[in-house]
Amino acid sequence: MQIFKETVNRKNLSVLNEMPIAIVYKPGAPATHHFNDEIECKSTCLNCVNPRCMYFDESDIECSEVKNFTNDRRLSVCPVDAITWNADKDSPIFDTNKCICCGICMRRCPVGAIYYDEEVKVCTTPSDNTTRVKASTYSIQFQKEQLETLINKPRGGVLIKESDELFDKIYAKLLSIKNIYHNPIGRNLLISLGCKSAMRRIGDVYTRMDAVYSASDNSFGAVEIEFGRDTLDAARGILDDIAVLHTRYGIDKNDNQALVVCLQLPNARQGYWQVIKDVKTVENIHISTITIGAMMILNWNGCLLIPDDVTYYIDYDNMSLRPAIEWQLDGKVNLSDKTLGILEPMK
Amino acid sequence: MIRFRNPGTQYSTQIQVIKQLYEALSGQENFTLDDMAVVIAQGRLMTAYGYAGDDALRLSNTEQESMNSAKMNAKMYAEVFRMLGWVTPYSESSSYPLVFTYIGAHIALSTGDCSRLYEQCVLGINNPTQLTDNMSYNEKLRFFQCALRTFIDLDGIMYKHELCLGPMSVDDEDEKAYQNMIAFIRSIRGSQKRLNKAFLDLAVSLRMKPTPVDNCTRLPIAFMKSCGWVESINDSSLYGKSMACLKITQHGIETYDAIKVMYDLRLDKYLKLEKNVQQALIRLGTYSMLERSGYDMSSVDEIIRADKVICEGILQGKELLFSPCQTLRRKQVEEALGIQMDVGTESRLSIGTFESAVAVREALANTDIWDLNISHEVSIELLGRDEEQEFLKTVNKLYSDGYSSGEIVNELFDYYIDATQITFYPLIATLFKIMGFNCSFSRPGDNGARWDAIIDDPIRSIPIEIKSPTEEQFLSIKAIRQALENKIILLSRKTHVTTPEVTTLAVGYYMPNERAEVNRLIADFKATYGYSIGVIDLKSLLSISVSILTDKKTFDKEKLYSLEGLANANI
Repeated sequence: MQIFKETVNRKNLSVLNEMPIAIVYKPGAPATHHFNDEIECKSTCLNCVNPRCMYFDESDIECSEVKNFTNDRRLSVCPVDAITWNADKDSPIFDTNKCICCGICMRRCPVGAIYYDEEVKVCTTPSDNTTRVKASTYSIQFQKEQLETLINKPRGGVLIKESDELFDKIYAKLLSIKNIYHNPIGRNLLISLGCKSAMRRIGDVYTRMDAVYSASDNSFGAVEIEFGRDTLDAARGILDDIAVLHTRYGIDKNDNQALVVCLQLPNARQGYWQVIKDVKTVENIHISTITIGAMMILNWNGCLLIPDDVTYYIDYDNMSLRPAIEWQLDGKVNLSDKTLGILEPMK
Repeated sequence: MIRFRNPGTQYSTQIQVIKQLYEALSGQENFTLDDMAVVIAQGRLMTAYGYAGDDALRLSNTEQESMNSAKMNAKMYAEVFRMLGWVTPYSESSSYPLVFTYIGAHIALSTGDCSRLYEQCVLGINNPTQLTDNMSYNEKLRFFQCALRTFIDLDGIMYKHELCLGPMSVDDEDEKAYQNMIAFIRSIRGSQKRLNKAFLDLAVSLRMKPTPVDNCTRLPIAFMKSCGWVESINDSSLYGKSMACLKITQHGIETYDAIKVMYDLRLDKYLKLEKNVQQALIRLGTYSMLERSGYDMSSVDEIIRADKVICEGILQGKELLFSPCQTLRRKQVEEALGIQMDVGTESRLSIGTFESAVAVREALANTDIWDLNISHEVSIELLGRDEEQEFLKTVNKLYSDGYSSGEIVNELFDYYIDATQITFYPLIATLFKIMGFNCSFSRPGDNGARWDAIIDDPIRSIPIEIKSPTEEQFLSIKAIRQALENKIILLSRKTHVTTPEVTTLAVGYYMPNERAEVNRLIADFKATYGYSIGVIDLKSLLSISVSILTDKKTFDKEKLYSLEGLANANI
């Protein structure tokens, strides 16, 4: 039986003429490739046969700690379905109305060709360091090997520089985005921040937690993702998740670095903060809290997310994420105090 | 009216399931619902009672097939996939077992984004087909093409019931019938009464209740949303008040523009053609679906060219819109394409090999029965509030009127069905007071107080989470979670004296619907945190209280302090 090939398998593709020693991101422009002789060259799309900007690997969406977890198998990198493949140009195209500028596709692009300049764009202008070739078994394999080497090259710089204005724009979309995108946004950001993360399938009412993650240091935890105002429900959900993972998956409650991912930190007067502290006091469970905005800042700066008992643990006595994020960035965050509840509660 | 009887499942889930099924079952000559259920469960694409994999199969395995959630889940997918032309009956005489179709194989083996082929399959849904013999409807139409046209002709926006009144109930090849349908929908617009009446009339004419008719819109709406043809909006222009409506997207308009110029081949026309023409149309229909979906068809260019010559008189230069896998029995399709889809082993997976764990599931739903066999005088000194005196008067009045304890309980139980937090919280506190506990309630909406009521005890205080029937009639998992939170807060903030061993309560109008799941969660909480969560319904509390007041009997109060799970008073 003849199974036809999808034309997403390219007719043409590009390969690098020379392997750079490092890639440096710069806001507003494609990344630059650096070579031994100090020559720089701008990055351009390689028309990847398996575009990393569009699809995760199967292994990214599985957590080995919970083998029976009925996870959603969607591999799309873009959590809001803003990326499609332009078969004519052999490159990704971005729906700017849908795009939330999370930067996940930018960070995953092996060459750094995707960048943000008022909107997310991809550089397709041929560069001095690329050659366009016909797709063949040989060239596809050659490109694959190049990309495997390339993704391990050192990277520096910043993908997007945070600002109040940019977050106003991003949060205007996030505050009204449909529910179906909440968990994918949380999961995909976790993956981009170096975790493996499996999320519950839509419609699965029996799997309690929104997602689980295992970080690069093998720490593991349940994740509740809350875009609304009812973060107290997320705290309750986490206690439920920890119990279910304890009894049904054998994860000890003290090995569960549970994480609440929220769009905005709850206001200071909300019960959430005190309850998080109560749980620590009585159960010695440190529930970490992080916002989508804070995750984006970490992502734009090439950071990893490794929740522990301290870094992202905030409660009634200390409600600010700013010290943790600035420690990871090794510098100041360019975001005003209390902006959109990203680093501190708004009220 | 066309009946789409299945729930609207997610596109991504459908793709995940067909890929998993193909990987596991394409080596078999055919496959059954049992095969599908095992693969779906083992592939962790379904859960049952909180479990996945083999455990889910064991917990679903009952003698009553319609109660076997794993099998019913498989059946739902089988029906949706048959509609999309991904699976088809193995033989002509029965609906099961199934085999994969050629298009199904392409979907399952797709390495990229198969959304374009999925869209072609949705467009391929048409009636009648050789696979839909005994249907309860006889509309002749390609539904989704007709639905897109209807959206465009009705200014781009429709309410879901208009789908039932319109494109689900029309022969789309009858232009006059179509135009009458459009005129009819326009005539009911502007008045919600007219819409409701038309919808009810339709349900009556179908001999169906309105809800199942409404349910028939779930799958087509899910298909249209998955294809990006429509989106949800709130609109008040159609019926004068804001309603959740559907709006056609630019992609929906473009899709209709592309297909309206195609040659739309239906079963009746197909059957009148010579065999060689039929076979050419099967190839052209299948290959053109793949080509429009972005597949490289260059290796069959010559076949396509030759078939176009054979079909020139029919197509007259138009592109063909015809989905053989969704319209014809598989033998004809496979013969024309020169393939055989039922090659493979006779191996079978069987749910029967998974020893039923239903008994385990039901054991989880055990309830602690409290016998009311201890004499007890009501602690009247606790009942000083006006509402409490009123409650005592009501019980005494009913009792002196000759009502039995059971009748009084039923009378009061029915009376409180519409109670809000304002009356329900004090009622629960009153009942606990009658039982001899010093209970106080929180003012509804007081966010400072975490629990809704508390039994204040010198050493064993019990927080109470209360759900009034107007919040939720049946206690839910949410209430159990809140009961756990109450316990942690009480231990942390120490506003009342208690110990970890003392229970924390959830009280509601009815016991939880999903008792097994609630009991499981209570057991999970106990195993993880060591706290006991007790659940009591209004009827049990009333039974105990009324027994105390009328029969001077009560239960062993000590049981409340250590209650874990559901409690039922044996009046």
